[in-house]
Amino acid sequence: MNLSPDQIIFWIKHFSLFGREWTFNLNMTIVGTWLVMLLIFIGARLATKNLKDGLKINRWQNFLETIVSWLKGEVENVLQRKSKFIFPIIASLFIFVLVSNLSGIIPLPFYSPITGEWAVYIPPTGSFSTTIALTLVVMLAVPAFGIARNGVIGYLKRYIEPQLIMLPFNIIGEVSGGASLAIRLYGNVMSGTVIVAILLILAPIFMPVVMQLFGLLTGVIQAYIFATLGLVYIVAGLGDPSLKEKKEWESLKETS
Amino acid sequence: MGIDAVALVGLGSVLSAGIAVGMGGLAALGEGKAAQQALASMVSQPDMANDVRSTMFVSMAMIESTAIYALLVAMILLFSNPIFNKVVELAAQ
Repeated sequence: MNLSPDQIIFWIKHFSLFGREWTFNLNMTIVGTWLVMLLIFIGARLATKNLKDGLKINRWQNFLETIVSWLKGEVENVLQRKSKFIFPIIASLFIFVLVSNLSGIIPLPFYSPITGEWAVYIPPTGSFSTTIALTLVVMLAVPAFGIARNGVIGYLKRYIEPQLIMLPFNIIGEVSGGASLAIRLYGNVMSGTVIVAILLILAPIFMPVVMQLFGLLTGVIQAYIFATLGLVYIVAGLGDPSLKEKKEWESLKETS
Repeated sequence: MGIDAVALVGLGSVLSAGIAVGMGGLAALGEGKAAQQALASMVSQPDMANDVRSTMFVSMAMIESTAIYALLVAMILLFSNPIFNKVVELAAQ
């Protein structure tokens, strides 16, 4: 049984670099990520092709506006200050994870010439490599934004709060937070596909459909959770808003 | 290494997978408690319902992650158990 789309390989390339032998596997995770990227890119381009002002807008623009304005509201609720770069990062993570989770219901067959077998499309978020990569984006954004705002010393001070003795626990908390972010998403999506595969043996017609419906729900919730927790980690790295930032934020809210 | 060792390792993996899922199911207790408290506060303060709901979803996902870890361990034990593969390899020699 395939526990991960990494095991479905389409193309293998061996090469040597820096005096070592390397292997490149073109597996289902990479192909699936390309498909999801293509889907998002084409969808966004088609929806934003003729943007309109006023009351009559086309339905795709309406759909995207709903998603973006809802996301902006959610992010600003947690952020409570002006920020240029945090919203695009969180929104892209959310949209990528959402489209990838939901794409699991598309029954796409793939032929692997290496093993000579047919395989079913598994969403890229069902692979541990993808979720670790997405988590690395968040975990690198935490020190990046924290240092940009507070400076190196100000950021590192966070680790010895409230006392120096808490340093190891703060570090463990940081690492386990990132690990749980990756494992949660992987476990949810992977268990969804595996449970559907098991039920296909037990009760082939009815039960898999029900579990796929349930998978749609958990897919949306997990995308929301991933984005929200990533945002919470980034905001924790920023620290409390200063008095100046609070004033700026309130004046911005009044004008808009 | 004979067939006994393979049987023993297989038995151990299957049993511990069952125990892991059963223990992970205990996370449902915590989730039920979270849902109960959230519903109670939504009823008593309907104005705060949206805030309570989003916080509840996040905390529920965090509680559920322990159950997901247990499920993951069980799946690895059942479908791609490294120790079992090693024992089978040794037994084949």
